[in-house]
Amino acid sequence: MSAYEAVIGLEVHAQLKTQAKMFSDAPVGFGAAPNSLVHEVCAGHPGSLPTVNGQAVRLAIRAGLALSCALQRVSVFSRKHYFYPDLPKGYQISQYDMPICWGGVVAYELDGEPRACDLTRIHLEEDSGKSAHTGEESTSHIDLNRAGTPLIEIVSEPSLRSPEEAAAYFKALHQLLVCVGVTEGVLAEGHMRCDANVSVRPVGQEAFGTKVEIKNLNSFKFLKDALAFEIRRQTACAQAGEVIEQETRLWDDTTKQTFVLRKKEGAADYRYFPEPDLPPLVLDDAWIEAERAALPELPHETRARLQSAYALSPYDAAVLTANEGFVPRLDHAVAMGANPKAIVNWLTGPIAGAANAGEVALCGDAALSFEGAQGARVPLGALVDLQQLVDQGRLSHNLARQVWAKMLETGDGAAQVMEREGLEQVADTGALARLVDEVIAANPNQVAAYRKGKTALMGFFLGQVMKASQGKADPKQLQPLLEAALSAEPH
Amino acid sequence: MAELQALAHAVRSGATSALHVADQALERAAERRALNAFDQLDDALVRAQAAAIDERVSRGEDPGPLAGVPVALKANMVTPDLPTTCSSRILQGYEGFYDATVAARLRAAGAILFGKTAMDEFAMGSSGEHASGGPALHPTDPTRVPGGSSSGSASAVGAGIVPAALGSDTGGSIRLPAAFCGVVGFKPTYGRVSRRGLVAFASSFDQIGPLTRSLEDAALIYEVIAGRDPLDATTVSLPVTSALQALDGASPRGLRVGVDASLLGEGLQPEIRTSLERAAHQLGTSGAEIVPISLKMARYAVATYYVLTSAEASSNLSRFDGVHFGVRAAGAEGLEQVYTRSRTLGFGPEVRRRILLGTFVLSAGSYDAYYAHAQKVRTLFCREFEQVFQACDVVLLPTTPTTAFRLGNQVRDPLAMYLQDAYTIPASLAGLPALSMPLGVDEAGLPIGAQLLAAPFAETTLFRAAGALRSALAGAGGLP
Amino acid sequence: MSIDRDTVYHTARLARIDLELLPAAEAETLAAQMESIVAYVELLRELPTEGVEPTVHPIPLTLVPRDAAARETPGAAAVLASAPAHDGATFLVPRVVGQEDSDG
Repeated sequence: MSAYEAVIGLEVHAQLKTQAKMFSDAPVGFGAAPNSLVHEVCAGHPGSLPTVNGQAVRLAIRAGLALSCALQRVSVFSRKHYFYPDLPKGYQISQYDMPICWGGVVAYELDGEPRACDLTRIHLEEDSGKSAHTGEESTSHIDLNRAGTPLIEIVSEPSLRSPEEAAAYFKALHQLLVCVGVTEGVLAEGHMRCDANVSVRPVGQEAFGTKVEIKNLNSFKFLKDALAFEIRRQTACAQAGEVIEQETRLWDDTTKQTFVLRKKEGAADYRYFPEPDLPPLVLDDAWIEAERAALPELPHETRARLQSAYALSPYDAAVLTANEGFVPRLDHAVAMGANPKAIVNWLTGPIAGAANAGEVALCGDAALSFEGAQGARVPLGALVDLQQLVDQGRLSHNLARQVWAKMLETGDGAAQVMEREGLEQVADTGALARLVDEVIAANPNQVAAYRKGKTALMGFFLGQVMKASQGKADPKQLQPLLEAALSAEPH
Repeated sequence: MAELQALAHAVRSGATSALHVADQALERAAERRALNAFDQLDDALVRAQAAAIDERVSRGEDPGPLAGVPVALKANMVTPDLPTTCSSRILQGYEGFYDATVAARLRAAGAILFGKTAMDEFAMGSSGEHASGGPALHPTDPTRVPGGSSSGSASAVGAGIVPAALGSDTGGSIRLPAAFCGVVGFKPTYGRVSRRGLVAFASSFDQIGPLTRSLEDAALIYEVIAGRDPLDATTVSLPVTSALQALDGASPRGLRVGVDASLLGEGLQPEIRTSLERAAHQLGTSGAEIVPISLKMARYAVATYYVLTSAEASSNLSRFDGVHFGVRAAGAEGLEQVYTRSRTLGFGPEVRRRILLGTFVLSAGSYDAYYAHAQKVRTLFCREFEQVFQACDVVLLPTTPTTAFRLGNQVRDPLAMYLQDAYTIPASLAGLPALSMPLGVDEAGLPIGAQLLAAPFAETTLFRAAGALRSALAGAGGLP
Repeated sequence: MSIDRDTVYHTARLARIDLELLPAAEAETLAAQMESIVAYVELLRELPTEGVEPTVHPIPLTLVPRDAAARETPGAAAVLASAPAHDGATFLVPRVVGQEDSDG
């Protein structure tokens, strides 16, 4: 039985983060009362005319720059005709043979390895409204609030070869577009929608097999699952010698299967022609330069920089990049003199955990503060101070975490909390030696057992000294002191 | 001082009231109801507008250059206060919820918006006979058509019901009915006047313009409605140069007038040819230079136009689907039937024809051979006119091949009807400013129109030439 | 190239015009008229257009993207007022099943 490989291309529609719609000044929004964000242009009323939203154009330029596309100085809007109740004009204004970008590339990571997938093009277009029905109702309800919302459609080359690659691509594209501010990226609100084109072919064959389109894969998981199912289905068909039909399918997450929405009897005739109500879009050099200057460091660039500048592992670099606000804090803390590895441990450890649990928020203020559950704010500098106390040996890691928790409760500084709570580590050798002697004196049986060879009891002794010191003994000094004391002959 | 200026002056000065002017117009409208010029006319609405103008005058305010002047709109111009039907069954009773830009500009100038005039359905037609409410009639001979598609506008102005009306011109729909009805009809350069609120027929051809009884009135209306509109991306930012001033002392001296003698031959009603030749001669003796030109592309005009405008129309009319506005046909079972029944039964035969033609030329497999090809031919028209306007300032030619024909004569043969536009279409293809003005009457007493074209954005030259033609004709023995 | 009867019907279908709803004679006439109009525009084939750019607008236009703030909308009632079928909040149509691009 010959082996088959999958060929996957993705078309991602991203909603641009604008105030107004693509071809009119109606407001963009989600969850508003039906047909309340609509005026004559988005409802396609007779006599209405489109205009072009400048903010949308600039965001499209920004996306093109972030994805290393060839920005087209001149692009043309075209009408794409079909009849559907959520498309009031009977055509969608899109771009056809002259899109705003050609080419481009999405950098992503799979299993820690850097990958890249080429893009075919990016174009601007307007979204349609929504049609909905409840249960077995024989009537559909049309809400045009979404009609006219600005979208960019990002088309990849069919270079992806597995569901994992596809999901990683979608995830990286999502992260990038959110990072540069092109889209809000709330998948639950439909800000990024993914259609996948998937076919299979015998390994080694150049020609593509018949492709099936799976629409509306709006989460990374659905994308992966749907592709995995579809590839299995098509492979089984091919191996059984059955014909794979060109279809449009949807993913049913309940039954965990793709199902046919409609058969494609030949390509639809959209009768594209240049939009006569809009002259060609000519990009101003000034807009392009402004967007280029405003581009923040891109996620894959950040990951690379973190690995080289701070010798971080790819994993740590990825975690830092994925969490909003982490990288600026790392960079600023280092600039304040902190040890990068230590700050990374704070961020990827206790802070990431607390942030995910909603217990701490990262503020966008100049001090790069952290906000505790009761609203107290702790500037980044205070965390740097706290780490310095650890570096000085005045706090153990455990004690530091306790101090940190108190800082978030009260908003007070590190040293202040440490002293007030009496959390300073006991590091004085003499004091530690006395504690060690007390514990040894109090546990003669264990001491004897240890001296007879049960060295695993070191853990017991460490614990006892810690307890005796209310957790404040300096663990770094403890073990050598205990070893020394325990190995001495009884006197 | 021309009629509109005199009227506005009288209202502003208190010599007459806007209400009086409005009432007189309403009386005339009632007297000439048989003309069927109006698709919508609401007496109370007209009076209310007039009363408001009078109120402002009594408060010492200046309502503007068109104070109290009744101006009729064509039934394809959207306003929120009166239905906009485009003389189509599919838009029966349709009430828009915004003002077309031209309507807002007229209001701001103090004009009274006087009803909505009958037209060929969706502006597709040259006689006025494709109207869901029945055709408007010729103002002096009710057995004849007033021309289309701005049929009611031409009829109303020609009959003296209102002194001015707006029409829309895609391939001659202002100029042809103006010529048939003996009034002035002016189509500005494409991009001069906002199309926002004009129900689109062919987006790269449509322009709104005035029908009036004098050149001065046309110039005045033009100056009020023209100018960039940020809500219409196809309007230009060029300043609106004064057409009125150009009429002042307009002289034929030194004017270069291009005439293509080959267009004055076969297919042209002999009296029209004679009138044009005499007009050219009079211009020449008054000091203009008659320059022989050749419009070789002219014979391709109708074909090019119908491919391109039908395509755009088929697209623009996709929105009429029985779902979001307009009429949904009864008896539809399922969504497909909502579409097909509403559209098939809601559109008239001419509209159906053009939608089919337009859909065909845009469809895969036909696009390159028909639509793309016609777009390139359009470029050839533009280039030819560029050449022509190096050699002359304006082109003089007939507006129509015949004077007003009888109802029912052409409507059975669509192609014959299309050829009525042969003289008006070239200016539409090249986006040129074009004007039809009365040139006398034929033996049956039916008006003859002369057409003048100028280079893009040369409205000043165009009106100067029109004024010059008028004075040359007057000098030779009297014509309006 | 010209247009045959099948193409006329296919074109009508694309445009959501149902020729069967018209009286048979009218449908027949319409189809015949289409054929003669298309035959007429074949005239354009005489003109060579290689190397000629297509004209979309007959005069030069510059697209000026707008930076306008979002405009207030008239509200669902006004938008639905001219709809043939609505329930006060949404437009109503017979249920759509697996038709053209539906989404979301």
